[in-house]
Amino acid sequence: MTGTSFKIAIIGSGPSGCFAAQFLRKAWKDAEITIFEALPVPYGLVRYGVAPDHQGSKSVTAQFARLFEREGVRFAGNVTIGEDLTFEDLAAAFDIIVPATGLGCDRRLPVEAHPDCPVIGAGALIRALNGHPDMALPAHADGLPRPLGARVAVVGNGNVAMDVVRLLAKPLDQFGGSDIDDTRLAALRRRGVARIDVFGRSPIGAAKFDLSMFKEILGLANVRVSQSGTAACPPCDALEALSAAEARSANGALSIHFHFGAQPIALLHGPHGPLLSVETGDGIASHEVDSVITALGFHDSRPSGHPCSAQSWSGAQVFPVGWLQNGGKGTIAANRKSAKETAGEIAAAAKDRHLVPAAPGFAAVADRIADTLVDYEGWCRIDAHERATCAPGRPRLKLTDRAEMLAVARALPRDADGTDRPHAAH
Amino acid sequence: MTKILFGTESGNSEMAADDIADFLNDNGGEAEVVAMEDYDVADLAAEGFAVVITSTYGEGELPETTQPFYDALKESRPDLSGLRFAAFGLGDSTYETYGNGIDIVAALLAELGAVQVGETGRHDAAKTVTLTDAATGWAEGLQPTLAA
Repeated sequence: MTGTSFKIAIIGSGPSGCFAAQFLRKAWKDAEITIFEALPVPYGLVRYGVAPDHQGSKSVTAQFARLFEREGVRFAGNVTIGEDLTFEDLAAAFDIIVPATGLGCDRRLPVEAHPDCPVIGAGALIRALNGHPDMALPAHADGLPRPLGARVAVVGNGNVAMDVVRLLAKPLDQFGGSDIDDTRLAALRRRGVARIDVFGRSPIGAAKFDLSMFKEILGLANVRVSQSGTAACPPCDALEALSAAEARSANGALSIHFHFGAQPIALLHGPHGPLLSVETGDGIASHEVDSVITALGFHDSRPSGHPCSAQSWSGAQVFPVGWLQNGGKGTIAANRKSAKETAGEIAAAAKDRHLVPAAPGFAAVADRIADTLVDYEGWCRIDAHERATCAPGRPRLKLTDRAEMLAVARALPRDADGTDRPHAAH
Repeated sequence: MTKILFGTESGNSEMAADDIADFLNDNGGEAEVVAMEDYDVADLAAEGFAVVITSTYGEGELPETTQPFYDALKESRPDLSGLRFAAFGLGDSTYETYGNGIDIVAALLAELGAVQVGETGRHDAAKTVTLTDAATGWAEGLQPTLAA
C-alpha cells in the first residue's frame, strides 16, 4: 500500500528532536509525525540538562508544546525503542526515522577511582538536581545523594563546568525562580561546600565557557575568587573580569580558585585523605579534595550493538540529529540549526524520490504500546500537578518517581500522601 | 500586508512573530511572518510599515540570523524615511546584556530615517510572564498607534 503522506518517527523529545519536528512540519503540513520518548515526560535535555536556575534557557518548551497542541505532532511517552518496540518494528511502521536521543553519559576522567573520593559526572549531577527519576549519584539508603564534602574539584572549563560551580556555590536561598530539587541540593551541600577548585586544561583566553556564564559566578556575593596559571596570558575579557573579581571579593566565605592550563592526572591516597594530583606548566601539585566532578563532555550511554543504542539504528530512512550526529557539540540554538539542516536533507531525499511515502504509521504499532504509552494529555496532567504542588515563586516541583509520574499521567486515584492506591487501575 | 521580520537563535523570536501576526490578523490586520535571513533588505523602504523582532545573543550580540540582515542594511544604507516600524526584543535578564539586540537593530533603522512607532516591546525569559502574553499584549498596545 502506498500512503499519501510521510509517516515520521522521531526518537527522543529533547531539543533536537523537537526542533526536527518543527522543521519537518514546515516541510510537510500533512506528514504524520510521532515523537517517541523513553520517559513519561517530554523535553529531555531542556528539562533535565539545562541548569534549573536558568529558566530562560528552558523557555523553549513553550515552542515545543505548540507542536503537540497546534501542529498535530503526537507525543508517545514512556516508550523505549529497543525495549517496548524494536527498531525493526519502528522501521517497518514509519517511512522516516530521526534518532534524537542525545548523549547520555559523562565522559570520564582517566584517573583511578578512590574509595573516599567519588568522581561524579557533571551531567549526572545536573540531572539529579533537575529531579531526574533515575538518580545516578552515590546515595544513602534513603535514596538521597551523599554530601560532596567541603572541598570540591571541578574538572573542565566549559559552560557545564560553570553550571556546576554556580549550583554548588550560590547561596541556597537564591534558587527562588528555579525548579531545582531542593532536597537533593541540600543533601549534596550538607557538609557545606567551602572551597571549589576548577581545573581547565586551556589557558584562560581559550577556555570554552561563555563570558556571561563566567561572569555569573564572579558576580556571586558570597564567593572569594582566586586564580593561577594566567601569568603568561595576553589580556582578554575573561581575565579582565576575573582580575576585577579577585580584587573585590576578598571577604567571600566560599573560595573558588580557577586553575588554568591545569590537567588532573591522578587521584591518590594522601596522609589526610584523597589528593588530586594536577599537572601544570610549573610541574605537578596535589590538592586535598572530598569529591571530583568532571565536566568533560558527553558520549553515548549505550554500547554499540545494544538494541537501545542509536549506533544500532541505521538504514536509508534513518537521519540522526543533534548531539547524536555531531558528537555532543553546541548549544540548544546550534542544534536548532543542525535540525534545520537535517530536515532539509530529508526533504531533498524525498524530492529525489529516495524516500517515498509507503508506511502505515503509528497505527501499526499502537496496540503493542497501548499499555505503557503516556500521551500528551498524560504529560499535561503531570505538568499541571507539578505546577500546582510547587512552592510560591517556583515554576514547578518535579515528580522524581516514575511510578508516581505514571499514576498522575493516568489520573489514577491517589492517596493523600501521593502514593498509588493498589488495585486502583481499571 | 505588514511584514513581521524576525531574527532568532533558539526559535523563540519566531514564536513571538507568529503570535504577533496571529493577533494582528485576528484584529482586522494583514500580517506575514518572514525570517530576516530570507528577506531582501532592498524591499524594506517600500514596506510602509514593518515589525522587527530579535533576541540577543551571548555578550549582547545579534543572533546569527539577525546579523546578515543588519550587515546588509549597514552596507547598502537604503533611505528608510518612508518606513514606520515597531520593535520587539527578547532577552534574559540573568545576563547583564539583557535585551540589547533589538536596541541595536532599532538604532540602525532610525539612523537610516525610519520612524519608530510605539514603545519597544520586551520579553524577559527569566521572568514568569509567558512570551505569548508579552508579545500579544504588546501588539494590542500597538494597535491604536497603527490605526492613527
